[in-house]
Amino acid sequence: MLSVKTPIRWRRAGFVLVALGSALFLSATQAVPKVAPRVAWAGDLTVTFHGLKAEDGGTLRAALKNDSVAETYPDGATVQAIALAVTGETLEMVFPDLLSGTYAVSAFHDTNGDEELNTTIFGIPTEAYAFSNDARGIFGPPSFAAAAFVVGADDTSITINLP
Amino acid sequence: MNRVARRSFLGGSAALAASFACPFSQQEAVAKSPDWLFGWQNAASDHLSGQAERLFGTLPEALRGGTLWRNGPARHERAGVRYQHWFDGDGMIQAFRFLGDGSLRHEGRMIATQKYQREEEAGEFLYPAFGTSIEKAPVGSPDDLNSANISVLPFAGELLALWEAGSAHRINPQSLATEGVKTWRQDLLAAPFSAHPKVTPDGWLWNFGYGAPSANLLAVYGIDSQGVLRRFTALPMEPLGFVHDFAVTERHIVLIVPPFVIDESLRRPRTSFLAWHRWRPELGTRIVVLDKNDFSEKARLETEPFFFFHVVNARDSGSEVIVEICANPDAGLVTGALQHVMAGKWDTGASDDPRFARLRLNLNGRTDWQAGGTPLDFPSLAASEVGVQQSGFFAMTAGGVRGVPLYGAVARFSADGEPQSMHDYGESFLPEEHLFVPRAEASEPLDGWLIGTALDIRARRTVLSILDSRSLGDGPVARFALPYALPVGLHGKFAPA
Repeated sequence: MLSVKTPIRWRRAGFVLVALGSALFLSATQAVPKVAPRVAWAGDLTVTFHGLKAEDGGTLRAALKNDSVAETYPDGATVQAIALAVTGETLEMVFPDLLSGTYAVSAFHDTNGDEELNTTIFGIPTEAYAFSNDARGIFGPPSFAAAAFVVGADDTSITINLP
Repeated sequence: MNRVARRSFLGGSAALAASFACPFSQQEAVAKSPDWLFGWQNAASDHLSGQAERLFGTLPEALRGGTLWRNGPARHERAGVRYQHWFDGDGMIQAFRFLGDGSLRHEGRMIATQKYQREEEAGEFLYPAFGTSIEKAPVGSPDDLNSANISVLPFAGELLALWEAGSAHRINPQSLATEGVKTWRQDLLAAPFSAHPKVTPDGWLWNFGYGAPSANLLAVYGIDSQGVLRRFTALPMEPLGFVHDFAVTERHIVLIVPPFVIDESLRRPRTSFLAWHRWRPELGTRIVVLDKNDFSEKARLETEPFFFFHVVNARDSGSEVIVEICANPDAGLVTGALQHVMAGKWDTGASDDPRFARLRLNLNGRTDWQAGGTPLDFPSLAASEVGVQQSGFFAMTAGGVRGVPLYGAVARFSADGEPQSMHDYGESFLPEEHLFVPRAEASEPLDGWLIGTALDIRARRTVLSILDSRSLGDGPVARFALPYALPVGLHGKFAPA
């Protein structure tokens, strides 16, 4: 039932709390590219989010992961992170100047501005969250593979629906 | 492993106790599909409604206008897939309405949990169940797989269908329609709320819940008689597994965690929640005693390893807390017979029997455990005696030797768990939980009626019987038969007019 592809132990703090709240969504200041050299540059990644609750206001925080750090996913370093104010049902984000490769996006709607995915004490998220491919996990986040998509030599566009 | 069962019990009426044979030990696995297996089929429809036929007797005036509410797993199969454990199926709320003219009307409706609705739409099971691994849809919260299938509670103007690892569901008592989950406080979304809350004589509701598998926390709730959550705490308890019941006294809450706990190394894909559990007697049974007034922790204690589903009652006694339990020596019942019953086998042995047991807790750390009393389960008390010394109680127990699951008889027990009188349903019935309802002008706390359902195996329909609590041995004073059989259920509550 639990995804074995992740090294996370879902203990104590809850199944989504540890993985999503503290690890996946690193703050935007930590956007440090960590990729192998001599990989062809691609264009931009455009992610269109749907299903946002504009009345909740707040910020959509998204993190881009690369498979070069997949072995530590979802604890691994974030390639880029973006936070944008939620003003409507849809929102478009651009992750610029990516190297070609395999990526995954995770996102959550930070309605109270604390930069964390809030959960109950039992680890149940109380803010909306989503992953690329609209992947969802069973008692935890989806595996990197389930959320993964390829960025090639050109610009790439994907869509993510918040549930 | 069986040291609990081997211990001699409190003594007393050995001859009478012996006549209450062990319910399971002399039964063999049934080779071919047994005649009772229709009790573990899907409900005949998602919304049942029928007038009961009065077979004999008269509905006592005192019960008229009341409703017996029941719940239990009622959807065991979809699209050719059959759940592997009795506790997996989706809940069905049942109303047995005792009408003013002395007739009985039944209505049953599948509880429209999110799980149920999504699986109805998909036409197949999607979500993991208690004892069956199904991984066709994501799970972000326990309420994603909440089957609302254990019990029901009318309280503070609401009717709640109870599960134990997530939210209760609000049910409309007229239409039986599901109105959504009950959230006691906004920060307690999908928090675990067990199926055995206790209403103490002061009108407060107390409950607990286990956070496993997502959190090693025990939730504790104190809710006033108006339905307002006044006290809440979440206590760390690691490792943790499923825990079905707890105890309250006048001053304390007692949480009892048998050593049947989740082993992280067993958490693999395509295995069920139940299969993640391991019996670890070396842990002992861990106990936390809380002060009811402020939920402060008074003691953490450890006693001998045992497993249990149900607490009979508990009380303060000087500096001690005494808890009486239907205790099993290990978790064999839940991993064995209650699973195999789905395949038409009832294969328990004597070591699986729940028996009357008494736990004395000295809050300074000493515990005393006396087990091995009469086989019994599904206890029912006078509401006025919850949390104080009971004058006695009722429970299901063994009848004659039969190859039928669960318990063949209902009995009245002394405060010490000694059987005093009983009604044996005989070979052709499979009785379910019986609930005590006091008479209005009762002369003593246990003066009243017992109301219970049973599967009539030969007639293939469900019957409801009413017994006089003072003369169980005389058999039911009235019996009604539904025009259909209900799936064998778990727990209920009687709500008077």
